[in-house]
Amino acid sequence: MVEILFFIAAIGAIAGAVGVVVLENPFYSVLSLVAHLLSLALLFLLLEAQFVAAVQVVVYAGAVMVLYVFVVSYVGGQNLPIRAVNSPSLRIAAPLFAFCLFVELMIATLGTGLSAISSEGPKLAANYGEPEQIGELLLTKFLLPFEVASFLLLIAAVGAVMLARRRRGLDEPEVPAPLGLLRPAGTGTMAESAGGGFFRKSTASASDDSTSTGRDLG
Amino acid sequence: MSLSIIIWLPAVAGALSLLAPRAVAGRLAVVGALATLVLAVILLVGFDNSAPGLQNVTDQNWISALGIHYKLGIDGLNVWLLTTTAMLFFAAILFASFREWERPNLFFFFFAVAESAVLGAFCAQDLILFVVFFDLMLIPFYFITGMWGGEGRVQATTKMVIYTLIGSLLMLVAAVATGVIAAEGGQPLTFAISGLQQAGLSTGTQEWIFLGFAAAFLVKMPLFPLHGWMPDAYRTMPLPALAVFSGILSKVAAYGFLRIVIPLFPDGAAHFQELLLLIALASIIYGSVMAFTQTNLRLIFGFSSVAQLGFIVLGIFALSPRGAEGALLQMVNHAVITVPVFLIIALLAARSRGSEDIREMGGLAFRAPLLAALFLIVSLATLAMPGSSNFIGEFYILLGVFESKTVIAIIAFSGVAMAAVYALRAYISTMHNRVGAQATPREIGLQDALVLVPLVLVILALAIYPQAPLKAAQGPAARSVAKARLALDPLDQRASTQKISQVTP
Amino acid sequence: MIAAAATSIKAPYIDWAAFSPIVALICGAVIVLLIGLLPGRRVREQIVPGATVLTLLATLGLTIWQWGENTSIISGALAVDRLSLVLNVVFVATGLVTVVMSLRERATVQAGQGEYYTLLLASLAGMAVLVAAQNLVTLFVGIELLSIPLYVLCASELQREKSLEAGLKYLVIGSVGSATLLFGLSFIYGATGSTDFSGIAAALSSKGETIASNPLMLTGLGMAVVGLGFKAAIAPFHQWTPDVYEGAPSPITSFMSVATKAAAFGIFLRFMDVAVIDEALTWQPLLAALAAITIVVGNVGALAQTSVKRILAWSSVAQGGYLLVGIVVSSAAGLEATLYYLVVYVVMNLAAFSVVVARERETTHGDSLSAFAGLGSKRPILAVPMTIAMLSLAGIPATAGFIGKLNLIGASVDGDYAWLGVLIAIGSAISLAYYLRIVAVMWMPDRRGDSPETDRPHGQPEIIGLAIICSAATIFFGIIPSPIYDLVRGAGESIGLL
Repeated sequence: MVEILFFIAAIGAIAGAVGVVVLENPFYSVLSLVAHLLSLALLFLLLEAQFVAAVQVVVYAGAVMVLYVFVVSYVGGQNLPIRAVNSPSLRIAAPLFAFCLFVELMIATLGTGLSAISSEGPKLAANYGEPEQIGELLLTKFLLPFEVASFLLLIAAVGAVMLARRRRGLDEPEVPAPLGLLRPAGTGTMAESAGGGFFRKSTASASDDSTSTGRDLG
Repeated sequence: MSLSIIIWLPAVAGALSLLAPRAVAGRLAVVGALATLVLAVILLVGFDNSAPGLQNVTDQNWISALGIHYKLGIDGLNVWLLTTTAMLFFAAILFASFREWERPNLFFFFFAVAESAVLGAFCAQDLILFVVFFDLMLIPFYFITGMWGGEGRVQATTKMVIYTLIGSLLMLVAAVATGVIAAEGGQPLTFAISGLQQAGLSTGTQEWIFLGFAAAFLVKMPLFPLHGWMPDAYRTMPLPALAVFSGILSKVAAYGFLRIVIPLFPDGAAHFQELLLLIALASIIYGSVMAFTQTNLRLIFGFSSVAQLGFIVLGIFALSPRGAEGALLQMVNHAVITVPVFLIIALLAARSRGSEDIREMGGLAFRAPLLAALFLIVSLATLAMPGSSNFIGEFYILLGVFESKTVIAIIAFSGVAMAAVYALRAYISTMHNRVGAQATPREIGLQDALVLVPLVLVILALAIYPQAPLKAAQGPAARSVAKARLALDPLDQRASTQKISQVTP
Repeated sequence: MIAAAATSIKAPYIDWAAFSPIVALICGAVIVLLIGLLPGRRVREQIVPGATVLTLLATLGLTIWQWGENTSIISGALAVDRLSLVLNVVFVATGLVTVVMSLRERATVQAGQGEYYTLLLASLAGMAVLVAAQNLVTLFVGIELLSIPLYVLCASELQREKSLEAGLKYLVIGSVGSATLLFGLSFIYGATGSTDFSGIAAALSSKGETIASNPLMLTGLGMAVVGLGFKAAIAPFHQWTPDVYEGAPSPITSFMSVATKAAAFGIFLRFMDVAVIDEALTWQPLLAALAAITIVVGNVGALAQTSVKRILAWSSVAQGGYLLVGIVVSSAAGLEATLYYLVVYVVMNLAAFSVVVARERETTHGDSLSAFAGLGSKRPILAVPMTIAMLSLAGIPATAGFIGKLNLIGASVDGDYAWLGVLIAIGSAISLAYYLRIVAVMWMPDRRGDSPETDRPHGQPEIIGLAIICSAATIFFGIIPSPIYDLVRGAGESIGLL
């Protein structure tokens, strides 16, 4: 029973993750992500981590996903095509590195003392993974990280508000970046090394404008 | 008397001239250099040739965490070089103070700091302190060349700094390694040169450390394959600065071999003796040939100094007392002639509308006999005319080499002959021949004569009485190479001890 | 029921005195945020920075009060010892300098002063937590608290495209780094069954197996190093550095280049020298290779740049390579050499950045090299500090940078990594090519074409003062280095190194 559930959940998690990347419609992507997160929750449950599984469902699959759906319905749906990577070397190197990393992780997990796989599983205390135990840990051993994490959330909120709001009555309405023209080509920006890269700069479009849609940040 | 005063006096004067009004900036620097010279002469007079070991020692903890001391001292190896440095810097600063410079305060500040750094490098008795001064003396010349130099100055000065600092930084690693590895046996960490002499480093360690130091010194001199920075830098550096740069800074490197490398790493020195001799020989030949083919006066004498330093290194790496003494004498000689040469080049250039090309000069001797006489004496000294002090120096060097490496000595003799060719060529084409198209013959001015005549008198004095520096050098030079000699030929133990007792009267 | 639970849990003892510097930073951040909400221009422009400075001074005072302490607090989450205290001083000093640099910065107005300075203080708090962290959870939380405010601060010049781009780029790449780090940390936990550094060390030594024979631990360690490498901008994980440094507002760039680096290296030192010190022979070659690559890549990368901020970004990558040498040798001498160099690096880099900030506001050339053309005769008061900073970064004697390199080379020879010492020397020689380019532009301008006078000199005495103070300190510590030695001495022993 456990094995069957594990494989269902594992396949669901991987398929969900692939779906997020592959599907073109953002709504489907988000739904795929929900499927992925629910599968993860099931995996947590199989690991006897009931509390984490519950939190996973409530917070991620519930709250965060609702936010995502909101965001997608506000700004998504423009159906901008995702540009392919231009640089051929990157197109070869990236999957190669990913494959190497995959192999390495496989060796690491399979080749070591994951003794639990072969036997009956770890011996766990009766209350393992229950809210009580997690709460106790958070208030004793991990008190400081717990408190710092709360401060971190506050700061993240401050940062988000700062970036999101548009201030009125600033000194002068600035013309966006005429200085961007000053940077000469070939100075080794990351954009160049990635072959067009992250954000297509308006200045860089002169070099290859076939793929450029003239999209600018903001 | 404290050596610190001598070392820092020019820098203090330089700092004052930085703050002083433009008009007196030069004069302040001159006063500082003069006071330094007087103190250095007093030091030389009070120096005791017979006493072994260091004199006038200053020893203070500088960085106690690393066992680095601020240790200064003089002995027979450096006392004459110290005085020569003070004298030549005074001459060059005086010469420069008669001329107009943009932003004179900065110019004389850098000049004076350079003097302090050179004096410090000569006096330093701690490895790290030596490295500090050695690197530091480059910085003023970087700015002097870059700010007051001629065509292509920025590129030339950057090239010079990078070349020399690659060497210096390798030397820094080598110096640190010397101290750290010597302390591995549980001794306290020290970088004092005298303390490190007892540390028996293994032969393998000595070899790579030797290469680190050699890189720094050979670039600084420069010798043949490492001279790439030299032509550009010589072409653009202002002449008073070039005079001391060529005359004195190269000697710090040669002195470093005798003070540090050979006593501290005798096995390394013995191991690389032939390599260094070959480099020296190549420099003699290459420098002489190049000096003969150049037409720019600066480069003629630039390549001539490559050849002369080849001789000095030849003497040092003969690893015999005779060779080392000759090398020390030759260092003083070469410094004393190089400075007037470059100052005279400045005068010649002023008489041919700034051109330093010998093809555009000529015929000055008729109208300017004094200038011609001065140049003649200097030229004859350069070519090691018998009777000049250079002759004795080169003789000692070749004698030292002859004892062990006969073939090398014989080939090196050809360098002496070639020196005659290029020195006379430079003299004849500037002073005799037809009056050049650009040349306006004019006698040397009173002020400049005031600088040059005493310098030439010093050359003559050395020619008459070269024993003075030789006597001071005898004991220390022999002690410096004794261990390396032993490493070279362990069977020759009896002979070498005999030699030491021979040369120490 | 509730009462029963309360009795069964024993709350950990909190040594408030030892914890006080971090508390001061966190409280200060909240107070500054609240003050920032008050109305009035004067409040925004004077009281908010003032409160920030007060917070930092209080932190400094509390740090000095705790000097000499060597304890582990809050159930082993943090270590208050010489290493963390020295770095606290570094962070506070950097914070103070950043506040002064930010006083006239446009970014503070656009982002709102309260929020800007709050984020700054929060980032500092994250650094203080990070360098004191001695378990994996604290480490990760610390690194996030350090990073998230910085992502926002990079983008704080909201109306400049490049600033936003820098923030987003830093966010994306920083998150990749964090994810890698977290993945690695979970592997380490999986392999050793402990999140405490000391527990990890004990597990490794008790099991009697080496890291090399345990792929899980090896992979975890590798990924943790990669994750920390992203934060410390170690090649080949440095790719974000030039873009982000160039795009971010200059005070933030300066803050990142010194404080973030110090924090990342602080935790690097503690993690390597406490948790996995017994396995040093396994990871030393790996880190040595990273150090070598970093030195070469950083120095060569800087050669072709024309923007001073980009040059300094590449230079900071290279300097990171030098710093790594002290970690490679994993000895007390190495740790102290790294710490020493960090202190020195902060001083000299801040001198350089204050001049960059000053020039950015005086000219229309931004931070390109042409903004510095002829500075030696036009504004010697800025040119001299910049020159000193450049010479010091290059490691010229009589500057603090020289002594710093001396220590690192000494440590490398002592730890049988003499070839890394040679590499430091060669790297410094390459670095001269770009440092001297800046010096040459300032002092040796082309005589023919004078650069057009585009200066709008306006009084910014605080920045000039900063430049002078930092460069004077650079010279001072180059001639009299003992104060810094006194500062870092004992840091190695305090975490149990020989």
